[in-house]
Amino acid sequence: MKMYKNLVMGLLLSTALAGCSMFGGDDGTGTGDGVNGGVNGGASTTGVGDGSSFSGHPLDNPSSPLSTKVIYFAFDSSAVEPQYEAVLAAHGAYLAANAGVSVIVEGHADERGTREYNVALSEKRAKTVQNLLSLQGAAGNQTEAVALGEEKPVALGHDESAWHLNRRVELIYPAH
Amino acid sequence: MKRMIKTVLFLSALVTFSAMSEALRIEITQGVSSAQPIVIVPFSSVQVVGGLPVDIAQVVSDDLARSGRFKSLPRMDMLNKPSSADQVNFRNWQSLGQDNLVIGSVTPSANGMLTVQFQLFDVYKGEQLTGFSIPANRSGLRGVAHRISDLIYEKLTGQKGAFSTRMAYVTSMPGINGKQEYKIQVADADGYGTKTIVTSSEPLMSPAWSPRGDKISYVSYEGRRSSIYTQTLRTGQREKLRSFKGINGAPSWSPDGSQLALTLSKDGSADIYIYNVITRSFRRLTRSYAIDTEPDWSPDGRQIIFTSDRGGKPQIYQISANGGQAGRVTFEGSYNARASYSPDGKNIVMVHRVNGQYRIATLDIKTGFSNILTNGKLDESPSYAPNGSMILYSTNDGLKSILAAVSSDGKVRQKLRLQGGEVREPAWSPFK
Amino acid sequence: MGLFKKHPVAVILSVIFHLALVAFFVFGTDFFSEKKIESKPVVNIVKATVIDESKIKAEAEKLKNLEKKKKLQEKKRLDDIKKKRLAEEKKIADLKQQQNIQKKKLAKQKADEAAKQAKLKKQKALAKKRKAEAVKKKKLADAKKKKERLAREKAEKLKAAQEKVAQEQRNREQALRELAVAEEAEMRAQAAVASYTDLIRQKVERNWIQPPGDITGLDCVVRVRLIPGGDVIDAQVIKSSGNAFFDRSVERATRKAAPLPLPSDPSMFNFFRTLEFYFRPGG
Repeated sequence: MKMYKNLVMGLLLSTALAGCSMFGGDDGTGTGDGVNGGVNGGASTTGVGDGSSFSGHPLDNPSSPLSTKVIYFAFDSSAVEPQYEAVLAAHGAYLAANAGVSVIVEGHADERGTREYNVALSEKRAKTVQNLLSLQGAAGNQTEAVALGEEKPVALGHDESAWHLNRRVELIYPAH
Repeated sequence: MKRMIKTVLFLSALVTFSAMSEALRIEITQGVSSAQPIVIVPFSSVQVVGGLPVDIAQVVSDDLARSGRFKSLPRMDMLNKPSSADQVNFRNWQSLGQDNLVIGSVTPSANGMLTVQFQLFDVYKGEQLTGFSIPANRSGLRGVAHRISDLIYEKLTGQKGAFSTRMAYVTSMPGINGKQEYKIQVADADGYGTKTIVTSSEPLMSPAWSPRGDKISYVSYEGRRSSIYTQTLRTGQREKLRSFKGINGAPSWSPDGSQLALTLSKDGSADIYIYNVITRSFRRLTRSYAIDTEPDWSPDGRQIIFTSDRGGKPQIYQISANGGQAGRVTFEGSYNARASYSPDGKNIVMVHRVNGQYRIATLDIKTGFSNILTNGKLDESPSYAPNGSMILYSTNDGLKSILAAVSSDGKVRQKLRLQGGEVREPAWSPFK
Repeated sequence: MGLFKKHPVAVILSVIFHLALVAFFVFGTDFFSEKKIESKPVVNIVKATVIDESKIKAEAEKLKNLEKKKKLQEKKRLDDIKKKRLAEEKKIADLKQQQNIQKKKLAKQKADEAAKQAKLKKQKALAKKRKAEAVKKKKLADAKKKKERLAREKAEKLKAAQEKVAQEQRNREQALRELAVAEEAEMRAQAAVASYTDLIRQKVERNWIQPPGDITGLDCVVRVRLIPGGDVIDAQVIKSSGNAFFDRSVERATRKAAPLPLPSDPSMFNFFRTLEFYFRPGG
């Protein structure tokens, strides 16, 4: 888990450093912040007010549920488990508050079973997450469900410890 | 008195028995299910200047062995190496227990061409079964060897040989930049002559041959979304089918080459659609809230079987290609998927889960008799040879995914070693 | 009357005999006396004598005399008659007596006769009895003899029979011994045939590579001819399965299995000269 977080953080950071500027609209959804971020996608600015010392993008704030962008699923299931409800609520709210932000909801499955069926299964997961996001206020054009099936595993083993990590939906925000 | 009669009868029987030079009857109820021994003597080519680029006898030997039906005699065990009929001593080969003998020769003919000649003998009967003389050029020798394998196979089994066919498959391995690189490759049925037809940094899936073997359709995730392409092999040109939101997947060609069955989820959940290749229009075939995917056409083009979990778990269903009600086909086990018809339409092969392990199984449509052919944990993507004798499939050897072949009765299994990297999703080409 | 109808002749005869018997008893004494006494019923005829002149004086006298005489005669006659009558009576008495005597005699005779007859009868009976007895005795003796003879014969027969039986027994035993020997040889031969048949079957099965696919229900017969030593000089499909590859595979199996295992005793070769293999997968 820790390793993964670092990886994601690293990727996002490097994307940020590369100067990607697909991010549009405000940042700074921290409470009580009066912040405006760099429109040109450079470094993001800080917000003060809640006592946190995080000065990055809200999506990258480690103490925010928004920093969680992967949701895991039980075998053969597309039901979102209770522990992720808060995460999705946060993302949904974030999207609702940032109409210009779009997210790719990318569904995955573990390697067991046939490949095309797993594509459809991963789509069910993605769509479930997508529905929850729109329940929280995200607009239809802000989310897109994409199904990758078992084609892009993050763990290459052939047992539950790997499979568990591969049964996931990733929320992929454009670089910010 | 009784005794006397008995005596008389017995004696007369004895007399009859010994006087009877009639045949002694012996009943045989079983044999061995093993490969037929065959010896393929290296073809002579003394007259060919510069030697041959291809060891024809070795190619034939490997072909026949790979089919699982034949066992080739290693060269070091050959007592002598005849290349013409007058040099053959059947007793020698009988003593080695070799049922069949192939000898041949390559000789130069006009215009730099070659003539490849071979003869097949029945060793125990001491007679020739067949023989051919085939013109060839140097670059086509491999193809000639496969043709010879087909001729021998047909003569000895009565089935059309599938040695001149090809297969397509997906490979996945780290590329130059460290990123994963995906390819679809086409090779001869023996793994030689590999050609890459498409490379991508995003996943490629589900290669499907057109009925004449001139095109391959596949799923590509380039642009991070799935879409279906049809590529002409000879030219490398490809056409992208109109893509929709959601899934675009599982293409399957109709036997007459006019339509493609495929999976779209644009209208909600994954469903089967029929794409008309000429008019480029789509027709919806299944309507369910469940997942319907992985379609395959029957050889007569009238039925389509597909995977559906409308009953709760993935099972195989069948529907008329013209539409209508789908009927369930599989009832054993809680997971059956990715079914396809045998070339004679009598069986379907599929992925079947038993005790948590995914295996390849066949189902006889008429009798309902099912047979599990493999014993791996993650066997998938079965594909019939066009003569129905073998099934290519994907399996895992503990380290990575590889291709394997199993005879359609499940008796002989062989692993194929192609190259490094993950190899999966084999699709056997039709006959040339 | 029914009896008459049934046996008319017998009845008539019976009646006749009864009448005869009655007649006999009525008149029957004569019958018996016929032999010894020639007498018939005596009829006494009185003859009167005539007297002459002197008779006349004589006649007168005579007449007187005659008268006297007549008287006398008369008296005499009367006396005679009396006498006669007496004599007659006496005669009759005598006769009677005689008759009685005769009767008695007769009776006696009869009795004698009867006695005799009885005696005779008795004798006869006795004789008969004796005869019977003799016969009986003879019979007995004969019977005894016969019995003895029969017994002897029987004994002889028995003996002969026993002898025969004994002979038959000996023959049977002999035959059984021969049979046992033959049986044993036969069983040995059969056992050898059975065990070599098994060996042959196993060798052919080992060498039969079954063609792939579903072959249950197919059956094919291959006739194989061997030479001593087990080499195959001919193998032919005599009943095809309808599947050429199946046929070829079974023919090949029989050829490939050569030389077939055969018992080393060359006299057993005949059993194995021609073999017919019935290939029927699945039984």
